[in-house]
Amino acid sequence: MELRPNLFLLLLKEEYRAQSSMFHSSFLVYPFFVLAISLIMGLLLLPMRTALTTEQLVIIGHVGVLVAGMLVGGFAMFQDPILERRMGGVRMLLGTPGMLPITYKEIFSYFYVKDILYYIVINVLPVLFGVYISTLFTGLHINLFMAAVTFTSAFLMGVSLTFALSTVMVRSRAALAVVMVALIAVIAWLSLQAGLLNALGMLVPPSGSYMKGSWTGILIALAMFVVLSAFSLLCIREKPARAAEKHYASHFKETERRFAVFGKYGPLAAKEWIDLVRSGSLGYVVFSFLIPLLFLWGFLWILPTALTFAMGGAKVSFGFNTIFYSVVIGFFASELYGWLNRLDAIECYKTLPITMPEVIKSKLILFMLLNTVISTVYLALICISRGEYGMFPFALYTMFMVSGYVAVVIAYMTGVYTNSLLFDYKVLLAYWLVVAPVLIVLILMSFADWLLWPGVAFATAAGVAAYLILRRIDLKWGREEFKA
Amino acid sequence: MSDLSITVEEGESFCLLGPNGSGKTTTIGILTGSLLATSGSASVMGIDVMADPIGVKRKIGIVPEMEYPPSFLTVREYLDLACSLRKVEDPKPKIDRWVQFFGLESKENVPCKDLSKGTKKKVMLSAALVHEPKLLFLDEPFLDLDPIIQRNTREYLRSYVKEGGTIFLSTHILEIAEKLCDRVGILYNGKLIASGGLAELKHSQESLEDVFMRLVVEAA
Repeated sequence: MELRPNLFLLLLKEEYRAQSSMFHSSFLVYPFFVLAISLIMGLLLLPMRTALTTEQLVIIGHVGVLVAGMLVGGFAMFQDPILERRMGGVRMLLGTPGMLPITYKEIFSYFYVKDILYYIVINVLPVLFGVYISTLFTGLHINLFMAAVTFTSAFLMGVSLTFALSTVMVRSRAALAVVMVALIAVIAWLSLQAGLLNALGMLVPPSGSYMKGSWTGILIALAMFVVLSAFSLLCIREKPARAAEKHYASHFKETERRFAVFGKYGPLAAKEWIDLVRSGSLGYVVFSFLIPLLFLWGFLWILPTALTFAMGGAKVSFGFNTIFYSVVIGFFASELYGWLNRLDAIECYKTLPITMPEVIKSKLILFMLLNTVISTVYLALICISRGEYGMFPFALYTMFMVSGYVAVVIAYMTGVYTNSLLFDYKVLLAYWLVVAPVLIVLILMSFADWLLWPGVAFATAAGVAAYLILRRIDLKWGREEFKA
Repeated sequence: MSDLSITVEEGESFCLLGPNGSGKTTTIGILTGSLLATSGSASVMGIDVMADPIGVKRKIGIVPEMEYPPSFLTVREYLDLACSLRKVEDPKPKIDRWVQFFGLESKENVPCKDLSKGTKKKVMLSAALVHEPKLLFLDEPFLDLDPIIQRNTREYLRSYVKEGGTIFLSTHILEIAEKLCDRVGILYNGKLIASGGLAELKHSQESLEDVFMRLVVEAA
């Protein structure tokens, strides 16, 4: 394979320009955001040390970096046309093998190296800097050089792991299922032997290297990275296999009839529903709550001990009721609205007699329908598990008000461009300024049962605000053109 | 765009020609209410486009140059959606007609993401014609179509104009403009550098290609 440094440079430039354009703001916003989060996490290390040992904290940190790598590693999916649907008219250098004398495998190899370099710069380095700055305040000692090496190797391991898994998936979903079951079985078996955190520590060897100052774990991680990357790159197909043509009985009329209750929004809501089902996203949507809920569970496990430390040893325990969960679930539910904006391009709407606010509102209708089913089930399960059956109606009402409020705010601020505009720091800041106070007040109220009715009143006020904002969507988005 | 003034009469077929980037697609975008003009005014079928773009879209048919139908709807479902949004009464025979005209019978239950470019174009043409509009805005409508469908579509458009329909067409294919249009306008750098009947614009034995080349070179 001929070396092509110019191609590599062009790919770097393309990535920089694509990111800057996608996030409608400076390229530096994202790494700065990562740095800020790492700084906060670094500051929390001090109280967390009372709940967890240093070794456990090191494992959690490395697993976090591995997961960050896994989140960006789905490279084999690049041959899936879903990217084309989402990016509309945007074309990338990766598409040139059809026109220029270069193979897809070759350009993809450069692309892979470029992406890894790029993600180390915007993900791993800010994490390191964030944690390092925090040590200036906490006084904790961090071996910065070793952390740089072990974090980077954990990150590379995560990237190559997802790359390999996505490679297996595009060839055979059954094979992926087998691999996943095997992985889960290994994690479960190790957890039974040594506990979950220690099991994860064994599976992420760089964490052990950091603790012991040895290079063995780092070399194991790098070897895994090389083997998994080579396997995936060799498996890359020059042209994606064309799937067999699928045929569907026409469901539009029937679905439209079911959505007729929503008046003029019915046809578009019906179209959104068909999109959601046929794209295979419904399953993702249903389970998208699971990870944040698990995170919340972990957080609530650590927080009382951390607060006990922060309060100088005074015992802190949480006495919140189910309303707390209804607020949090209501907030997580707004992610459903983002999902609805990831399914398909919208440019073809310019040929039809519809406006952007109609499209936004039809998505909000579908959001509320999904939310009604999914969030109610999650909330009911929480009420049952806590034995707070009498709280269920109040919690359900609060959840609807909060989710409606948050979703309408997102819809108003980002329209159908949620997944790019929420990365614009101005929009993100405005979003948090509007949403956070409502969430904080309701969460604080959930700590006292005598504040139940004032909480309901406050949630109602949020619902009224949502209605008023909803009416302003026409003003803000009425003349917006349908573009990619 | 600057100082652009175009009037197209009812029952006329007008073709906008011009080099790449001259503003043809922008002009169609403004006239169909998809783009907001920074100044000036536009009226389509007596409706002010700036004030009521949806009113205009309800009455006209649009075939854009680049955009394709929604990925996850089948051909028939997209045509059902277009009819529903346009409030077409008894849409089934109308949809059947265009499915048959464009030879889409074997594809009508296939999701649009799985169609070839040419077939997607046929779906967009069907959606523009299904409500029997009196005015069509067509931006490179023949791109990606096979020669048989090109010819059938051209013949249909000719009969459509004869029966009183109006066409506003943008194309690079001068042969189509010559065969299909009563009048042409030539855009260059956002300005209309010539407009009129084909006979008016031609000098002696000139072809439309000669006219186009001469006017663009003069304007450059």
